[in-house]
Amino acid sequence: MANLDPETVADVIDWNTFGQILEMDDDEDDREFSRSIVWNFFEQAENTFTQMDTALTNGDLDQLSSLGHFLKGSSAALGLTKVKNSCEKIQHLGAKKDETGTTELNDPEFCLKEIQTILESVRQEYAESESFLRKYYDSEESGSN
Amino acid sequence: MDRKRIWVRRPHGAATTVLVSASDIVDDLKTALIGKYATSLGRTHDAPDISIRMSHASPSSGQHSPHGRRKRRGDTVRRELAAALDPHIVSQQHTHQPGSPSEEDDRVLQPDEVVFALLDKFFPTGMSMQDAFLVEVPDDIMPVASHNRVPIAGVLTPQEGVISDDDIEFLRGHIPDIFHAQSTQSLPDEATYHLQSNRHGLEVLDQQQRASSADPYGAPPYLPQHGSFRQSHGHVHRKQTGSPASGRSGASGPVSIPIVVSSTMTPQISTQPPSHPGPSRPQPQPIQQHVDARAIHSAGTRGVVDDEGRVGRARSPHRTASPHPHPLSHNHQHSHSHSGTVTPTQQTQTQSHVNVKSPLQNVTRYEGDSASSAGRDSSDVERETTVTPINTNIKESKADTSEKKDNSDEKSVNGTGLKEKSSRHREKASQQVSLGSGLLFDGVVPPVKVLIVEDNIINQKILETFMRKRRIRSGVAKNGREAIEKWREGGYHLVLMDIQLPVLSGIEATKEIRRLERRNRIGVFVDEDAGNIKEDDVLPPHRFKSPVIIVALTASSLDSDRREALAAGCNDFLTKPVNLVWLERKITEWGCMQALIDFEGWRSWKGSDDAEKDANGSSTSNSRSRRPKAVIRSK
Repeated sequence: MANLDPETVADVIDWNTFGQILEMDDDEDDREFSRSIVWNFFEQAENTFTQMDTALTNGDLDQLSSLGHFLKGSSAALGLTKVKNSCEKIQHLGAKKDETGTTELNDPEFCLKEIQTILESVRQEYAESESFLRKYYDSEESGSN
Repeated sequence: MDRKRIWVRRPHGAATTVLVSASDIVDDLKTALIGKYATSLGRTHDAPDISIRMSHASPSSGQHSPHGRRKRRGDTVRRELAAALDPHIVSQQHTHQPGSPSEEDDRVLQPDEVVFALLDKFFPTGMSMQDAFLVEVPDDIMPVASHNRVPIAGVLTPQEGVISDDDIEFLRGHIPDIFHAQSTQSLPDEATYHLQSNRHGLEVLDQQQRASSADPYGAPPYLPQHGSFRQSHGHVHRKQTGSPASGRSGASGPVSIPIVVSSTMTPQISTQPPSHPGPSRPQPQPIQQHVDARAIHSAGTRGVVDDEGRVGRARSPHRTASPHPHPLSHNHQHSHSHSGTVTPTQQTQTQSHVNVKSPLQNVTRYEGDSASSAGRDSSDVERETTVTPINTNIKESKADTSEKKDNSDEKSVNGTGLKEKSSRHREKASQQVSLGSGLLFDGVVPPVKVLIVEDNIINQKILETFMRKRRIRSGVAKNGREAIEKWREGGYHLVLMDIQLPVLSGIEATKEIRRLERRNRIGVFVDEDAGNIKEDDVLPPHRFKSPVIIVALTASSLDSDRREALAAGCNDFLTKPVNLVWLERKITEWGCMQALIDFEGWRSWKGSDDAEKDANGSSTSNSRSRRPKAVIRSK
């Protein structure tokens, strides 16, 4: 993994958290467990984004909030901080609060618009994380470990 | 039979005598010496292991100045060390003295030599103090990376250089022994090795450990902030130069790690009690040594407990996020972070009584902790309170797993048991390799059943696997409603309740569970009209010995959320993403309490567990089989 220096890594993923999962791997070459978790996450994230698109079209803030919360949980568990933060924003905005979740907003339109913007950026953040993780596992496989 | 007096001494030690008989051979002498040095060598070595060196014997002993003698002894030491460092160095200048320049009189004595014969040959006029035989053990000779670092009865000056991993291996393998060695003599000189190692060196080390095991130092929860060896002679000092080199702050450069290698180290080394939210416990002293020594190794890269003394999991990104695989392979280590979570659970934790209290203490304390734990992600808080023998996982056995540990730990405290323990742990280590997060509980976890209530399947999987690896039975529920139903089946000691759940929130589910408990008179708080219980509310009594412990998994660290959880009836909480080290600790603390209460449940569990093991035909050496021998029912 020569192309991954610590700073880049820290930017994309919280290794403290992700490391916990890695450590549960029985076999460092296979990394079966963590690999399954990560790949499941990929699937889950992509599904969630799709569902968010739908909910956005339907103006369904509740659903958006719930989806945001849902993905927040798993992205947090994997240490994907940026994705998690964006999901949290969506969660709050879907609940008609400001993105920090502290103040109530009475503007559904605004919330929807905000969510739309954030959805774009979270997709990018996710893509970044996905790419990193795939590279990580690729290099694990190629035995550079 | 006449006995003769011979003089012996330890390197840098004061001379002393032993009496030998005519029929004694060197082997008998060794036995006598082990008795003489019972508290130092006797604790760590067996008689056959020591070697007795005769040097500069002279038919005209006693005629040389004491000073000259000492100098020659120094030369001897230097030669030995030089020879150890470089086998090609030919020992020259065996003796400076005229008289008997043969090599014969400067050598290690063979076990079968008759002592009297030696005396007659080399000390015909009798042995004087200056002629004292040198009593050595293999550990006396410590190779270091640089040939310059030959200790000569004094303090080594710090040398630039990297300590190779081999050296560290070696040191680690020996330091415990040295720490245990206790000399009854006061040694004016002490060889103190200052080992400079750069971060990388230690980093590699850590990486290896982590790789090979569930990271003993993964996140030892306790890292004594200012560990200090306090020796009876006041020699010892442990410094961590520079600020804690946590990944966060960017580890500083070389860390000077003084490692005291002397036999004057007494077991009374103590470290500052780690301040952590868990129950305070007396740390077995010798184990502390290991912690510190170990901490020394790791501190360089990992940093220590943060300012507040909070223990949290700290991992230097450099260590964990190593994009640079290290080819070295260490075959040991399991660090156990103790933190209360100290990974090495070899410590004797005699806190059965504290266990019961602690969870309750924790509840209030966690309030504060969570506040700081909120910032956990960004702050590398050292949780390296692992206490383990250096060459094994350094884990501090958590209080919970105490009982079983007590006996074996007591033994280890004596030092002699330590080696056995080390090897035992090493065996265990291989079984614990993937426990994860440096949580090396040495496989000792309470025999409880945990209900995992999480709506996200990924989080579910993570927790489930966590449980499975520790051989903790678990069940899963994906919303509040399911949680209540599962719980009603009975047999759960602990519930990990995600607070934000669909269908029925975690708060609501908690309230409902507590309500049912009260109605069914489970626990201390009973509804007054519990007599008129509705049929729907009835729970099978035999399966509910005590109120289930509910640990709330909250996403936010807001105080209000926490308080709400506690008010609803939760006993404790963890913020998400769940730090597995903390989780383990919670399980241990609460679980042990529950296990104590549910003795019957434990017994039946144990029965089934044993049956399982027989079926598998393998002993996974799960310490649970050696579980609490005396579980006192607190009823």
